[in-house]
Amino acid sequence: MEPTLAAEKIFSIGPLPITNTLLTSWVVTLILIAFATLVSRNLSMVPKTLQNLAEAALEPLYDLTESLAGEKTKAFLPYVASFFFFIIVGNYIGLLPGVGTIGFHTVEHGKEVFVPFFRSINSDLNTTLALALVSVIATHYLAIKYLGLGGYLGKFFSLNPIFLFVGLIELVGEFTKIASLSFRLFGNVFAGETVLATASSKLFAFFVPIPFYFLEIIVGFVQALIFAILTLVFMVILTEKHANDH
Amino acid sequence: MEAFKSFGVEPILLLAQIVNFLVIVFLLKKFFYGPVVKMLADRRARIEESLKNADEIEKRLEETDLKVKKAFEEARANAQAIMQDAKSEAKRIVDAATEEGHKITESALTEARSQIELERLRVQKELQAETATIAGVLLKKVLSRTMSSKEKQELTKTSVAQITKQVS
Repeated sequence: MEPTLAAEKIFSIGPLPITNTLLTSWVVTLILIAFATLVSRNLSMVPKTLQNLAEAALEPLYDLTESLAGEKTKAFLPYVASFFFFIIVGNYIGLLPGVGTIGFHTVEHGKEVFVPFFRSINSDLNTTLALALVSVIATHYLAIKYLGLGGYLGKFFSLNPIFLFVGLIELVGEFTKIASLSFRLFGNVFAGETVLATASSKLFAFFVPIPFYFLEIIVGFVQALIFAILTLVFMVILTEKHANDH
Repeated sequence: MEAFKSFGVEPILLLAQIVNFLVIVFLLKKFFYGPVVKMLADRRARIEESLKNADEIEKRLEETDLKVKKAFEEARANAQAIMQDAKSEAKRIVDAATEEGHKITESALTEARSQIELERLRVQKELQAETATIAGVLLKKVLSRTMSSKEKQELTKTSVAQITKQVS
């Protein structure tokens, strides 16, 4: 019952293997888009239930982004908010009963293994790595957009040997961002999944996992927020004009 | 790469997740962040405007109150002034009438006094004449009976002198 490092394949569509995390990602996507459509269809000056929820969720993120990004908020918010919503909904769906526990048994490499239909999306490095890549690439795209290609390259390359050295280190830092963003999220969620599975299968399935569930609710929120805020901060830093340009 | 493999990372799955997430970003941007943020901004602007309007209304109300109060005050002052005028005018009229009355009474009194005086003088003169006549007759009658002509003469002289003195 304990999750394996790699997500399990359920079936394939042509060359694309459909893993349980990919399937769950699609469910999350559907939920988010359905919610967005429902909200935006009935937007009104006096908010009702769903709109209240949407505004309560979006406004703090908007304020946070605005406090750091200023006039660039409009460009940053879609990424920052999407990271937050996708990750938090994915994390919480992973905590629902049945996710990770309902599935089928199959024989793999001569060993019978359990394959759940759904699995927490961020317990798969494919998902978190994809998110980290989008985060870093979007950051660089926005940097080029706001600074121009010259200004962007000037961040990393310089004729001054000291600045060149610092720039090269920063360039390496950009790659570490991908690793740190993806492994932090993956590590936290995968660890949580493992703890929950262990607590309910190896210890005692009743009551014992409850504290861990509360812990995972906090972790799910915190990790989503960290990913979103780090992305926001990276974007703000990289799109800022060089001190020499002032 | 071997490490990635053990984590189950496959380029095609990675690509699928990237596409999936970009779709979310695109759709949410179009159908969620855009409209909701616009709605929030609109509402904020509306609330700000409403508050400003409320302030304006309150200010105007205060101004109107002040104006009404001022108008009241003015009207009261006007009324007071008119009343004062009317009072003093009335007093003036009454005073004038009293004065006139006094004058009329005075002149009537004076006239009456002079009339009385004239009447008195006339009566006095008449009385004098009559008295003189009566005295003369009386004297004639008395003297003709008892006195000598010398005494008569003396008495007549004294009497005449006395009457004359009395009359004047």
